[in-house]
Amino acid sequence: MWSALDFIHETGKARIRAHEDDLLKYATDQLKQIEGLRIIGDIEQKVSVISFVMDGIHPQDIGILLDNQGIAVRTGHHCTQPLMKRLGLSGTSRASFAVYNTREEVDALVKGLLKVKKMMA
Amino acid sequence: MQTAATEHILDVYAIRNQFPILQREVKGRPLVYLDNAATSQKPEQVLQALDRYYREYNANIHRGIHTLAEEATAAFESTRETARAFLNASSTDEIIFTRGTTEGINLVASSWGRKFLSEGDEIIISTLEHHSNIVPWQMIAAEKGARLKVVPVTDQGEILLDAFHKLLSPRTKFVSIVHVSNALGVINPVKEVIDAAHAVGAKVLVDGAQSSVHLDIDVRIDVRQLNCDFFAFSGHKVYGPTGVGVLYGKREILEEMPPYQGGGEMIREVDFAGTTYNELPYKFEAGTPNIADVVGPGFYP
Repeated sequence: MWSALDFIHETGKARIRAHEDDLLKYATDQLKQIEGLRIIGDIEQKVSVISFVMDGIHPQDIGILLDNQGIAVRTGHHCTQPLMKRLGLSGTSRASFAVYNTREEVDALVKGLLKVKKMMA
Repeated sequence: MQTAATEHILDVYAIRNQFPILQREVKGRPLVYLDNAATSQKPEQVLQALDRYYREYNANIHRGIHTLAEEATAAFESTRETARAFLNASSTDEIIFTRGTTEGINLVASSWGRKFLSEGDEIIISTLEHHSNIVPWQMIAAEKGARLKVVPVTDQGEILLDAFHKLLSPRTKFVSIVHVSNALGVINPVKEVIDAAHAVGAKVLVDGAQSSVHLDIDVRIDVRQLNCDFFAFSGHKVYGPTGVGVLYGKREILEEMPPYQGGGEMIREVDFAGTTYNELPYKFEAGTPNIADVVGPGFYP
């Protein structure tokens, strides 16, 4: 774990956060363009995690169809069943970004989701 | 090119090269890994540190007088100092190595709760909590006859601070709250929660599993500035290995808490007539810890 904390220290937490914030804003804007997609937790004070649902498509199907395109997202209740119950959801799909993710990868996610939509239509 | 916008922030392609797994393909396509809130990938230096530990330094720590044991102990204790600096804690005595955030929360719920909770006491958590910050409190509440109160949230997952303030009372003994929601990414106003909880005499644990890797600019990870009583995070979400984490606790509170697990290292003297316990932080580190995953190359002699 020492080397991991050293990696963060060397890269710089402020730079990591700025990069992640850039990805968060870019991805949020892109995902909102997709009709029928709704972001849960779409507020100012947040980190580079985007939880979303899509009209008529189960999160598990989204996860499987994205995986077929090489894209790894998490789907389900995210170990927060009481929160999902409060929000009236069985689960969400969640894309979360780290220091090594790129805008091209956001583009791949968007393209992937559009493909999912077409397949499930 | 669209990536130009972030080039001035950092060279993301140079960083990608440090993460070997990002080179692999999944289903014939380049891997796009967007599950970082579950666990982050590991850079080369973390992989090398693990390999190097077992090849060159492997020994059980503390109480050894041979060279390997001394070197491994020095590396282990140096990491404690790095973790102290990461959280800006006052002392390495306040840094306890755990298996991860889950064990940190269980340690506090079990040890602090067993000693300080009694019937009718209240514990406050929020609707946003991960199961690991719900179930340990349900378990100790059931054991002690305490009650669990839950702060409600808006439809976007923001905690309702007014409702939180109304839940606070002299019966409130503990508040355990997530810093950043793993499910939604929302940042909780933990400073306000901590100050208000302290005003009624309650202790506060901050679940830092998600915040530890992200926050710095707007909300610093600084346990002294936050003034939280406990802060828990996991190594594997901050580009480190699985199976290791840190629990920070204020010294004066940790001193009063009974041990969590019994075994080697956590004792001062064992006698069949009775056992005395080790000082901080070793009192809470029974058994051989996950040395390989704790240490790193920077402190090898």
